[in-house]
Amino acid sequence: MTPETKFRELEEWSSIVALSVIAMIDEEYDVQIKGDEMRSANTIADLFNIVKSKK
Amino acid sequence: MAFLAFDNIKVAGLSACVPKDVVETSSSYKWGGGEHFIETTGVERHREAKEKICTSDLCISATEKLLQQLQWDKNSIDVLLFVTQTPDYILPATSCIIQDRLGLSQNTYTLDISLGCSGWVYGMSVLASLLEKGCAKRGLLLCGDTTSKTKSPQDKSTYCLFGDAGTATALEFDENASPIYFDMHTDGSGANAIIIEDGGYRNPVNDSSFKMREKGADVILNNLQCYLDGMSVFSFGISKAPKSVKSLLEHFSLNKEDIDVFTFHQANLFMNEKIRTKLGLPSGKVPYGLKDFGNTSSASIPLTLVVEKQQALQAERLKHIACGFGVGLSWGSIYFETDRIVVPDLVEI
Repeated sequence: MTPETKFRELEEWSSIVALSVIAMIDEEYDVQIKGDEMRSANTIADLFNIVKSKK
Repeated sequence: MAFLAFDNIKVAGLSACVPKDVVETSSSYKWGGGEHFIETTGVERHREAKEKICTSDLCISATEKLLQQLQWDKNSIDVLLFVTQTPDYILPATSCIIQDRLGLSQNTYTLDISLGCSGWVYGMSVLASLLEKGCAKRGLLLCGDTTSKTKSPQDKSTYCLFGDAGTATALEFDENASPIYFDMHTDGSGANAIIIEDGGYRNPVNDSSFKMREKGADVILNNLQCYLDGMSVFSFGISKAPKSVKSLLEHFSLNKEDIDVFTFHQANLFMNEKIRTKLGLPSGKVPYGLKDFGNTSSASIPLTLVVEKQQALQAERLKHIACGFGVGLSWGSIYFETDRIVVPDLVEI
């Protein structure tokens, strides 16, 4: 896994994993991710930047 | 922060009514992975109202049974509130029709309130405020939805999740009653997260309203059906519901350990369990009605109490916290007590 990893292409990826990532971001950073933001993210770096922009 | 506190309000009774027709998730979830859906959402079956059954019909049946067991004279009802997003008509307000159908006096104050998952908590705050001074002494809060009528059969995100139900909550002016507390919130920037786009006056019904549109994989619906952005709502729910419960506890100096029952809006098991664990609540204090009834919008809190806590409500003195969160976006929490209240068996029509 690197910042460039396209997480949607991972075999384990599913809609429940997406929710788990949202829950992790909520718990770790107290940041609320919107559905559109999650859908627009493709790489781990994208997620990082979304969280950073909302902190 | 909208913190509210009311004295002199006694919760006298709770009842609920569901349609007879049961839809099993195992036989109606047609997208594959039905077992996984059940595991995640916790919804094994739900009730669906036939074409001729409206939310008002469910609420009226629940109310008739409750009034009978409370032995309340219909002329003694001063206030009737109806919380729904599936009214009988665009106009007149359904609460006016219910006043007549229940045979309540023409001196009744009636009001429709358009809210969903937060609706019971909001309705309780409105009714409590109307009764607090004792000018009006008895009030009924009717909450429910026939969400099945707004779901697309081609939308896997909502089709097996929502169920239909109607409920009635009876409140009474009583100077010996313990206080009721609220913590209420709104964030209209999330209005698009749960929305029926057409049919109001922003987008009146037109030919294109009926066009089926693909909004995502296996999410196909028209603009007169309910769209749900599950990810946004999940993110909202797990963040805001625990914060609201915490701020209610803190603001009113309530001790979490003293609360007997925490009843949350029944969104889905995955989301509700996240909320429960974030608050560190033992599972024994958090009832679930999702398995048999799904997400029933504003009916979910009173319905869950009726089906899961009937005996305790009838026999014990209980301290409650309940929290509703969803469409609006709108959310809020309530603290209230019950002391051996009237709870009829679940009504089916």
